[in-house]
Amino acid sequence: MRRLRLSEWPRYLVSIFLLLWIVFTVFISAWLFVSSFKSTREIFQGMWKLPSKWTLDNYVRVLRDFGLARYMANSLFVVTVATLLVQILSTPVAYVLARLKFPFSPFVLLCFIAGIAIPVQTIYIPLYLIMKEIALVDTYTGIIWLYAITSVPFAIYLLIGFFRSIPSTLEEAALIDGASAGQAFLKIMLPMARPGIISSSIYVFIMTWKEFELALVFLSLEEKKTLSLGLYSLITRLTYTGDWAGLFAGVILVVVPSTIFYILVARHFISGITAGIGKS
Amino acid sequence: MRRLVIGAVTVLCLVMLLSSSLLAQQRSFTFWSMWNEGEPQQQVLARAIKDFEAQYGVKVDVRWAGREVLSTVRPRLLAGENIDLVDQNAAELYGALVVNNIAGAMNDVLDMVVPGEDKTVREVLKPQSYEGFFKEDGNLYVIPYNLISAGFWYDKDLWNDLGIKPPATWTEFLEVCDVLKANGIDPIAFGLLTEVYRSYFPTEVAVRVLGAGALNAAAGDPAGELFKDPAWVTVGDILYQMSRKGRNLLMQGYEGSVYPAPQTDWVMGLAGMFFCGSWIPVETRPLAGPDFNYGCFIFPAIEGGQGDPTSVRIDPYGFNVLAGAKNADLAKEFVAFFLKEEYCRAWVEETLNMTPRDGIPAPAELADLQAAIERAQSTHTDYDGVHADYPGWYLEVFLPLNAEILLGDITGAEYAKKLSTMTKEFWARQ
Amino acid sequence: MDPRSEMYKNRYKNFILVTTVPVFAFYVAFMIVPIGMSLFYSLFDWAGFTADMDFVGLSNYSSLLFKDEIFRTTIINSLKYVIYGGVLIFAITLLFTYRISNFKSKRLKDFIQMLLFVPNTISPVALGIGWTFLLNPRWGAVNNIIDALGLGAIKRPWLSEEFIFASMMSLLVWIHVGFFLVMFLAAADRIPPSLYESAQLDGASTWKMFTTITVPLVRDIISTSVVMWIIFSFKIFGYIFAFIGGAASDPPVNIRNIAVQLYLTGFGKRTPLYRLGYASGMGIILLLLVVLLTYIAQRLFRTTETLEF
Repeated sequence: MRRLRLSEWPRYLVSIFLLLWIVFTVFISAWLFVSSFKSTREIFQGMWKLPSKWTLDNYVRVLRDFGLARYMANSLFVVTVATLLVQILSTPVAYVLARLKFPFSPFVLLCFIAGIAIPVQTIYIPLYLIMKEIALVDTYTGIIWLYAITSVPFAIYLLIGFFRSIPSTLEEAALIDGASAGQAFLKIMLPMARPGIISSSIYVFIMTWKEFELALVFLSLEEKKTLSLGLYSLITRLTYTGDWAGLFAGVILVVVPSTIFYILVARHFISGITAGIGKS
Repeated sequence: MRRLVIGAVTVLCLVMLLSSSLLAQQRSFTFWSMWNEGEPQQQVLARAIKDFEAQYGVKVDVRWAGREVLSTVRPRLLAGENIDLVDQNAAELYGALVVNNIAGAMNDVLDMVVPGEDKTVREVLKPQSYEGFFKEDGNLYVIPYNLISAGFWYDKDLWNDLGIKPPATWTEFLEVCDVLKANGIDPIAFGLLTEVYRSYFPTEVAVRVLGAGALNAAAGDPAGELFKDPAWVTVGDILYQMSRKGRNLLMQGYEGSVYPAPQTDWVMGLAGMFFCGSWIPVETRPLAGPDFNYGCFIFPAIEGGQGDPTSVRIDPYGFNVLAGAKNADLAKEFVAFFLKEEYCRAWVEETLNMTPRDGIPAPAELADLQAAIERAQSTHTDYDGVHADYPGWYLEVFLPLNAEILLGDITGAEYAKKLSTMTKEFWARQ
Repeated sequence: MDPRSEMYKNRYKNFILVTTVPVFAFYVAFMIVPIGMSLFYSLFDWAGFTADMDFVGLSNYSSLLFKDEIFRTTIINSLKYVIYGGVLIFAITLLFTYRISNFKSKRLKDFIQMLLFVPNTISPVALGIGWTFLLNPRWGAVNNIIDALGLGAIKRPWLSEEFIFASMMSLLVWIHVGFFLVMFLAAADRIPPSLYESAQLDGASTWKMFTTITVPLVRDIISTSVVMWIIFSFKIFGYIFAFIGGAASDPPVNIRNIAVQLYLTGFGKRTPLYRLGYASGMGIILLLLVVLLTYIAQRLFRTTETLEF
């Protein structure tokens, strides 16, 4: 047994606090999970007890009656492509801004960084008018493009940090050997920045998966709706019919895949951040 | 032989071309609906749409946009997209479309014949369902297909056991409340934090004391003079009685309660009644269980009040064909089509709502309300039209003051006085 | 030798033209231009359904800043979220960093980080509604647990006007601690253990080591995080929007921030307000506030020197 030292009292205090925090988090998720196997009556009347009868009815109802599978497929497609697109657009730009000085480069950098602060609500009416002109409303292309361009500022911000942490000796060697800028970038920088690219991809993926406001404005066709729209409409539907149990089941159905995905990639995310943070 | 083949092919091509151009000219209209896919309401509408397409040989481009349909539709309209038909609750239709002059007049639909029947729309609809919605220009901008009303919901079995029955006057109401309290039941379920609830009682009391339209007129008076009528003090006093500092009729914890707590508490027997819309049975049935016996009565008459005591709150949800819609005629035909008896019946049976169509009995849970509607000599809307006409006033003056009076933080007289001064200040700011 | 030197400049010119210029152009077209358009709209009284716009000049702004009490409340709320929220989040995150960075087991470390991050992956609408359930006075978990522990006296109406802001903030803190913890721990990990060893030999407590070694060395992560928090907190929308009633009713004024108020004014939820010009004005004010606070934060943290080790 480790010795308990008096001078370590902050540590014990914080440990307790941390423990409570964790217990709370776990408890809430567990409660939500367990409740989704109850009937609505039981949820309200026996809120903190285990279900008297574990039932899968709620899940069946939600899966059968509502188009969650379709929404999930749409989200998967849209978000994956958008994430890839963001990396393609941002990585070279981050490299350039991290390394080179050219006319107006501080201004360009500032513009991009300022973009992180722009709330989507400020711009989506004008955006709608623009997208309408180029006929990209209600299309996958349109929403993918919007997701990509609105995530670019943050991705650039993250990636600049990574690029600055890579010593420039390797590129110099390549250049001396006669490589073009593009080759130096693709063959040397890109592989070295991989942890950064991975973690910025994960971040963009998660944020775009949750995105709701843009989808609401730009996607109205049922077959193109994303999961966050689907969840919102599910919640609306189920509250208007008092089907709270179904709502819990629906939320779990949506949350579980995202959480599993996150858990699987969490290690890469964390190590990616570890590799580059502190250098921006 | 070869000439025969060439001839046949040419004829075939011509036929294909002709038929495709005929198909291309197939009539159609666009419909943006407030329902979400999967909701019972959506399913009834979807069926009607399919039948309409088949019977008329047309195409309907329908989008199930959800409750925010009017916001979703707005940028599209701005960009010049053609949208023919929308549906929503009348107050929102008026507040969004009529105010901006893009709603089309629906008067002509009243005189259209319901397909397959020999009655016109006017003959088929209950007049109470749309009468209150004619504007000063004589136009009606909504044709209802769904009727929402509101009243005090109660558990018939519980009340029978306690020996109480629905009160007709405010005095009787207070007696009923006393019986409930004596039995350890909070009289009225309520949640102050859900803004939609907060204005129900002030509106109902105002309608009983001053008559429908009085609140609306007073809200729109830039000098705030109309609120100086002493009757408003009576309104304030009654609201004060309900608060925790008055006779404490509202359930314990109401100042911190919020949807869905009030209705769930009421259904579980913690409160004796709950004033809310006719959607309550649908929303609480899973929790109430199949044996719960829903009863409903409208807000009681207030002695000495000038308002019509039979006035019932009517909140129609209906269609509007937009001004400038390219396929207005076809859209209007669909509106008449949807009022066919089979769809109105399906509406009642599948969505458990009332239909504005006459002669179709309401679901058992809503029978009381339907009877009240049929007895009503006049109607009013959920905020006396203030929501649609003066949304800014509603948000900046009405809601905050209602919170104060229902918390008992101000007296009835102060309520009336503040209504007057704050209305004046509000209009001065515009 | 430096890629920036003359010899290599040419090679990079094409690279820049191909990769950076188009992206910047698109970015300007899709993000900067709309802001300009938004600024333009904010000078009008406009409902957005038709091209009917009434020029009102700066009166939207004077109303917003001087006459609109609800908007003023939302500005104050936004600032409260940033400042109080920020202080709470970073204090707690630092405390947790202190405790967790000392863990011997990497697996435990990773597991806890992952667990605490999870709320960030969940749809804001679902969490907003869920939190309301939790705080329900009668059947919410919080009050029930308090009762079970026999601490009935500290029960409060968590969702009433006085407490609802604190309730909302507790949700935001719970979520964002998990988010920043990952970054802080990553930064703390970069510190070479040798620095700690010598301190330990001198008999320093873990707390002392944390405050004198760790904190100064992660200062730039802290400043980056503060900037990120400022930006995020102003944009928070989903949690507040869905709090209380989910789809059914507008969130109470006490918890609204500018982003939510912007949406409600311009797009309406239950109230057909539809004032796009006015809402655009809010958007511009929001943007200016973010820029201002970010600038202040940067200045406050300016004295950081990056220590090389």
